Amino acid sequence: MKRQVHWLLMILFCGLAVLPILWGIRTSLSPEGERSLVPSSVTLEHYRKILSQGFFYRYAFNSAIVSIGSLAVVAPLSLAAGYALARFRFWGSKMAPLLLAFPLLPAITFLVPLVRYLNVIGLYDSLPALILANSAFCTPFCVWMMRNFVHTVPVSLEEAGLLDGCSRFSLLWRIVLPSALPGLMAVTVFVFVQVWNNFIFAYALTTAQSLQVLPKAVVGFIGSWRTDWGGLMAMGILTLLPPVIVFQFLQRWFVAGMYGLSTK
Amino acid sequence: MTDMPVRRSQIVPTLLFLPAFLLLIFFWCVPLIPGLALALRSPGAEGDWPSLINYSRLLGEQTFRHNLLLSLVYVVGVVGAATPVAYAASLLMTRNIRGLRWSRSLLLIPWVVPAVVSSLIFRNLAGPEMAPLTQLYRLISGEPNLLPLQDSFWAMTTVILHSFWRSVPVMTLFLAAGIATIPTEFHEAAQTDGATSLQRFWHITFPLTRMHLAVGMLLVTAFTLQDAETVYALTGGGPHHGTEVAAVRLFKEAFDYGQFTTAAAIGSFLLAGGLCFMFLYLGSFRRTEVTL
Repeated sequence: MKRQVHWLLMILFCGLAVLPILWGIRTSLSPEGERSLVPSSVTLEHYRKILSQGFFYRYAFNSAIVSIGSLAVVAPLSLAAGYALARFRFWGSKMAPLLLAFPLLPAITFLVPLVRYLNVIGLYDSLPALILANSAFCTPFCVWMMRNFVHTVPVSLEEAGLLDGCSRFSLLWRIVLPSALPGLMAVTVFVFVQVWNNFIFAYALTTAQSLQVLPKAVVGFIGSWRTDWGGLMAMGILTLLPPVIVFQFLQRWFVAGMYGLSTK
Repeated sequence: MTDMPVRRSQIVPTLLFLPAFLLLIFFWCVPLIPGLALALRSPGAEGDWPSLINYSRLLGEQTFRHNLLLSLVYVVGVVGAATPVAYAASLLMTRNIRGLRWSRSLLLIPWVVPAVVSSLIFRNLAGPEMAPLTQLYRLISGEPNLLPLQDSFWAMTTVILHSFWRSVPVMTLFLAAGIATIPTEFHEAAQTDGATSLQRFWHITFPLTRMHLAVGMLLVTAFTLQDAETVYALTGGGPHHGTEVAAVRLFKEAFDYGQFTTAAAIGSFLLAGGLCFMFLYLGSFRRTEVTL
């Protein structure tokens, strides 16, 4: 009896989580003006329309560059900083609680000054600007996750390495890195999902049409495609596929990272 | 605390820590100071400095007071709705019921979907005639011709509903992480003493996850307070400023109208709000550390 109740509740929760997405898929597959809940006929017309145009590939490429670029910045930085925080007592240790507090500040406040600042250093309206802003945004949380992962690696392993004459950095490379791999997976999930989905930095820091990323393009289309819901939804579904796929494969590590985060 | 043999070295940790630290300094702290100074400049290319005109104009404006009120409604609505649901979900998730492992990745979907895409979906759900949310709202309100996104109340309801939907997963994870740290012996001991599951929740689970609850609530609060993108994509702040929370106002002032000084002033309001929450969070964190 109790078991059935649990099952029912879980199905209810999952249903609520997934239903809006199913609605989006339904709309993207329906002919224009479809009125029933389950469409009477399915069409791939909307997808064909989007995929036949060059702009989609351009924007998807930009999104990929920004996401992978941010990952390339955040992963090594957070591994190094997380390791330092987990294994040493130094001036940075006092900064650690502040690190976790950064994401609690409203990022949007920093946008206006950031625009002026990027103008000064000549990066405004470029993909590197997006990479740096996104990286700065993701770093605090990732450092914290890495710190917690390193904590779970036994120190004795490193001591053995030190005794064998490893330098600090080859230690990091040969012993810590392999054992911190789950942490890097968690960082990968977090950064990819956050950066790929980010709209606000893209809107604020780039203006050129050729530099658009997918979420910004989606919002742009709301204005111009107003009633073409099928097309808009197809665009939306294509945009959400990469993060959802990455998450499905790597979520195990991310969940572990979250657990570590809170148990420490 | 596990200390490494070379305890006194400051150079190695500094070298390791510095890149991340510099990135944060350059992208969070350095822009902040001129940004706050910007709020004290009167509008126009040759604006006076310092001047409180942005603040006096904003505070004297009824629209802005409404923006702030809507921000509060938004935060309270989302946190208030998400907390009990996330609690229930996390309790279910940590039960480790056989056959329910698959549920985790489905449950977390709302967090993974791009905010602008889910906004778009909700815009459609509450949009055209036959859309499910529109139908539901019409049923509840008893108005057969209601257009939710043309009505301030229902538009705001949709905005809150959407952010609630997005916030539950993160909070659920936080709470589940907290629940997972409770030793099973506690529950077993209580069970042998004849405690009901409700009593066990109230006397064991709830007090021991208080910190996680606080952190989860504050995370959602902070995200909701600064959220401009989902509202911008869902309603654009309309109808007639009906869903224009302070963050959206900032966003539109800066990037649609180019009023950077006004935007910076609004930003300082949000920053003050964010700082309040941060101290609250740090405060509750410290307090529970003592009790543990």
